[in-house]
Amino acid sequence: MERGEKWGYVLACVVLVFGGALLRTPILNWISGPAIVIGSVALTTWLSGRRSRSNPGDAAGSSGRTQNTESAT
Amino acid sequence: MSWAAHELESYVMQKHTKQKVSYLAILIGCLLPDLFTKLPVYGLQIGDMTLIKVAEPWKYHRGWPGVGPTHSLLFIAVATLLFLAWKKNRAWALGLFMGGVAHVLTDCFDSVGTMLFWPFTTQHYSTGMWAYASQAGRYGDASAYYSSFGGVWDFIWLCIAIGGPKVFTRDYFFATVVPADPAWGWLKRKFGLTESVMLAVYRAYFVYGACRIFGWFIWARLLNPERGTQTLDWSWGGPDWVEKAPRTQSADTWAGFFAQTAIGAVGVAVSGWLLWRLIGRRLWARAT
Repeated sequence: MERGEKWGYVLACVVLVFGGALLRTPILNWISGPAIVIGSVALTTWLSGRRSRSNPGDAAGSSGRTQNTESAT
Repeated sequence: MSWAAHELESYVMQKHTKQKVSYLAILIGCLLPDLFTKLPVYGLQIGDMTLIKVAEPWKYHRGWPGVGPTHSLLFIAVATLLFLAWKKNRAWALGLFMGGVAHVLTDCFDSVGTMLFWPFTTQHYSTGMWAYASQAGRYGDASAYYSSFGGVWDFIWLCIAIGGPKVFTRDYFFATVVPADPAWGWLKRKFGLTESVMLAVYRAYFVYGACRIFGWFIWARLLNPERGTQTLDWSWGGPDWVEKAPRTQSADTWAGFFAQTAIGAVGVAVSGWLLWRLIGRRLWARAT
C-alpha cells in the first residue's frame, strides 16, 4: 500500500470514530460513512501524487529522503 | 437489528464463496431488507419535529401487516429472480441472494426476530440475544444496542472479518473481485477511478462498519448524557432499562411453534422449488 493511500485510511478512521462519536448520525450513516472513506483515500493519494510530481526525489517515501540528503551533501 | 454486522458479513461471505460472485451484489443484498423501509422506523428529524415515524416500529419493521416480509426468505428469492430476469447476470443474482439471506438470518438474533417463513406463517424467529429498541428512537436504540450483547455481536463479526485478511488485499481485489463483476470496469470508465480509489470503494464498507462500532460505543458509553441510567448490561435480552417491544411470537405453546414452523418450512421449500423449476432454471440458463 502506498503512503498516500495508507494516510487516507488513517484519516477516514479518525473522522469516523471520533467525528462519529461527536456528531453521530450525520457521519455514521450508510451513505456518508463509506463516502468519507473513499473521499479520504482519493484526497490523500491525489495529494501524495502531486507532492511526488513537484518533488520527484520524494516519490518513494524513505528512499526519497535518502536521495535528497545525498543531493544536499 | 444489527448495526454494523450487515456491512461486515458481506466480506465474510465474499471470502468463503467458491463460486463466481459479485461483491457489490452481496453488499446490496445485505442492505436490501432495510433499504427502502427503514426511514419510518426512526422517523425523519427536522429540528424538533419528527416526521413519518410509525407508532409501533417493531410491528412495522418486522411484522405483518407492515414491511416485515422484506425480512423473509421467500422475499429474497423473489427479489433475486426479478433481478436475474432484469440483468441476466448470475454473479449478481447469487450475491444478492446470499446477502439478503444473511441479513434475514442475522436479524433473528434480536428480541423481535424475523418472519423467516412468511407468507406461510407469521411466526417470528428470534434468539432474543439483545433487546430490539428502535421504539426508543435512533439514539436510544444506539445506546441500548451498544450497551448490550448487540455491540458484542458487531464486535464478533469484526473479528470474523479480520480473521480473513486476504479478502482486503489489493491482489485479492484485482485477481478475484474485479474479474467476477463487470460493474467495476464500468465504475472505472464512468468515473475515471484510479486503482487506489477502486480499492477504497471495495474496502469502504469494512472501514465504515468497523469504525461505526467504536464511534457509537464511545458515544453510548462515554458521551451519552443518559449514560448514568443507561448502563452497560451484558445479560441475555438486555439491556433491562430499555422499554421492550411486546412479544411477537404468534404461537403460545411449543407444539404450536413446531406446527407453524413445519407449515412455514414446507411452504417455503415447496414454493422455492416451484419457483426454481418453473422460472429460475430458465432465467439462470439464459444468464451469463
